[in-house]
Amino acid sequence: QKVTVAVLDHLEHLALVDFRDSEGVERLQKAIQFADQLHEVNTDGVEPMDSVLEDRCLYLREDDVTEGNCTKELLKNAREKVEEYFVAPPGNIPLPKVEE
Amino acid sequence: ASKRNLLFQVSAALKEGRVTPTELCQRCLSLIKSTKFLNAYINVAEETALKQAEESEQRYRRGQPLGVLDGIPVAVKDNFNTAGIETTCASNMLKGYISPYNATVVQKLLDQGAVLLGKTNLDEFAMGSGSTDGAFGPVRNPWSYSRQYKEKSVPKSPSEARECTWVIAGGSSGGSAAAVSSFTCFAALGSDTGGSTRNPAAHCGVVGLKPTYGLISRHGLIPLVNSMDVPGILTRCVDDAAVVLGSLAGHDPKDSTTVQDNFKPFELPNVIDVSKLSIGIPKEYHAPGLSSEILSLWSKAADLFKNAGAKVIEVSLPHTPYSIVCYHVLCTAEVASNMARFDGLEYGHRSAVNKSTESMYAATRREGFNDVVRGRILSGNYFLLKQNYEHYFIKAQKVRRLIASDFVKVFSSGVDVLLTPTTLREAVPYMEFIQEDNRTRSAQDDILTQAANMAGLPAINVPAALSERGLPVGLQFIGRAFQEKQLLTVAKWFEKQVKFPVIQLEEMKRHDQGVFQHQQSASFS
Repeated sequence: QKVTVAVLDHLEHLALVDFRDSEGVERLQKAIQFADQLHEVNTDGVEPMDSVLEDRCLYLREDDVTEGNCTKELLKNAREKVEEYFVAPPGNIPLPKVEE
Repeated sequence: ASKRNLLFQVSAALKEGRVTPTELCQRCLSLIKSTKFLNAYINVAEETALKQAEESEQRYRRGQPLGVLDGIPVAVKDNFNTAGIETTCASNMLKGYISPYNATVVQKLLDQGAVLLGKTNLDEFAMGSGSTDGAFGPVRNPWSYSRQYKEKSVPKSPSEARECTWVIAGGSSGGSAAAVSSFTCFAALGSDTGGSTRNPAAHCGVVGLKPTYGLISRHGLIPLVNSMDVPGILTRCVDDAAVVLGSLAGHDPKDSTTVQDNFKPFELPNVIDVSKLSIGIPKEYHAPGLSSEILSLWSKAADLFKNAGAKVIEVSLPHTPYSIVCYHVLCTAEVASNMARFDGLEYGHRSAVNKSTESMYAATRREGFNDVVRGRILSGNYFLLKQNYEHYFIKAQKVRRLIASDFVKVFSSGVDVLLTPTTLREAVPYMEFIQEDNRTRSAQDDILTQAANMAGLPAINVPAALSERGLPVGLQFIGRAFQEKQLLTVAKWFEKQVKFPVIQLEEMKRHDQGVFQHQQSASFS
C-alpha cells in the first residue's frame, strides 16, 4: 500500500522538511512497513502509556516569576533581529505543492 | 586488597598535593591534542577549563575542596547546553549556537568544582548507534589503536591497516565513551534514549550507567524523546559512576519530570555478598544475531553468580522483540515534535531564503538537518497524522505498557536484578558499519538496550572481557526503578570478578607516566 502523493505533500507541509528525492520516499515506505509489525501484538484492553511516571503527580511550582529579563542573552543567538524583535519573512504564503 | 574507586584516589592525591588540578587539567588537554584522531571532542574549552582548574587549586590550597569532584576533568556530550560554549548536537543546524545557560547536570558538576574540558562528539541529534552520523565526522574507538586489537588483526601495511580497520565507538554517546576510554577525562556525560550510553560504553570498554527515568534532570539536555531520554554517566569503574550519580541525582524544579523523592547519595560497599540475591536471565535477550562469544560470556557470568550462592533463574519478558518497533514509532513521533523548534528564527542556522516564513523554515531545515534526522521527522509526522494516530501512535503506546508490565511482573516475582548482554557483538570496523543505513543499524544495535528505556528502568554496562579480536565486550544489568544502589552494588561485585584489562594505547607510552600510570594500575585490582 503505497503512500499517495497527496500524503507526501501533506507531510512536507506539516514537517517543513522535504523528502528531497525518491530515496527519501523509499525510506518512509520502509519505515511504515517496519512499524506495521506492531500489529502482531494483541493489545485488547490495554491502555496507552504516556509516561512511566504516570502513577505520580507532576510537580507544579508556584506561579511566581523567578527569572527573566534576559532579552539581550536570548537575542544573541538570532540571525535577523530589529531592536527586541526576531525578524521573520512574510507569513501566509503557502509552500508550492509537491510534484510527482 | 580493598579497591577504592578511581575518583577517590585522584581526590586524595589532589588533597595531599601530589598533583594539582592545573597539572591534571593540562595533562588531559595535552592528551586530547595527541588523540585528536579519535575525533572524540567537537569543542575543547581550554581557556575556561584552565580557569576552573586554577579556582579549584585555590580551594585545595585553602583546604576547602568542594567534594570528590573538585578539580576532576570531565567531558560533556554535545547535546547538553553549556553556557558560553558552543552546543551543536553534531548538527549544522546548531553550528555557532552558544548556549545562554547550563543544563542542570552541567551546573551541578561545575558547582562541585569539576573541570569541564569540552563537548564530545555524537550522532547528529543523538540519532544513531555508531557516532558515525554527525556533522563533524565519526568517532574512532580508542581500542582500534590498542595493542590488544592490533595483535589480533591480520597484518597489512601499517598505514593501510590503521585506516581501514578502525572500529566504531558505538553511539550515540561515542565521543564521551571514547574520551573516558582514552584517559582524556575521568568521567563524561552522555545521554540514553535507546541505549546511547550503554552501547558505546560496551564498545569502548567503560562503565555506562543509564539511571531511572525521573532521577536526573533533563533540563538543558536537548530532547530527543521526552518520555525516554535520560542523562547517562560514563566512567572507568562502577564506584566512580556512583560518585557522579550522587552529584547529579535529585529533584529539579526546572524539570517537572524529575521525581520529588528524597535522593540520598551513596557509597558502594567494598565487601559484597551476592548470595541473597536473585538474578534473572531473560531468555528473549538471546536474540538472533547474538555472537557466540557474547553468549558464552553471558553464560559464564551467570555461573559466577551461581557459584557465589546467588539464585540465578531464567525469566521471560515476552514483548522484548517488539520494543524496537515500538521505539521506532514513539521515537519518530516525539522527534517530529521536538525538532519543530528548529526553524532558524531564534537560534541556530538560518537559511538565506527569505520569500516567506514557510519557505525560510523549510530551507533552513533542509540545510540544517542530515538525512537521518529528516527521515525521522517525516516518519514521525506520518504516524501522527489523524488517519494514522490510533493505528500507529496509540498502538505503540499500548505496546509500551506491555513491555513495561513485563518488567514489573518479573521484578515482583522476586528477581532483584536482570543480567543480559549489552550488544549483539563487539564493535565492527567503520567501513563495515556504514554498509547499512542508520535505521537498520539502530534497529539491530539497540535491541538489547531499548526496553529498559521503554520501562524507564536503570541499567548499566560493565566491561566484561575482550573478544577474540581484542575488542571490549560488556554485559548489562537492569534494576528496579530507583534502586540504583542495589544495581550498582551488583555491578561492582561483577566488575571485581572479571578484572577487565586496561587498554594498552601505544600512542600514550610517550606521555608522562606519573598520575596516569597510577590511574591505569589503579583500574585493576
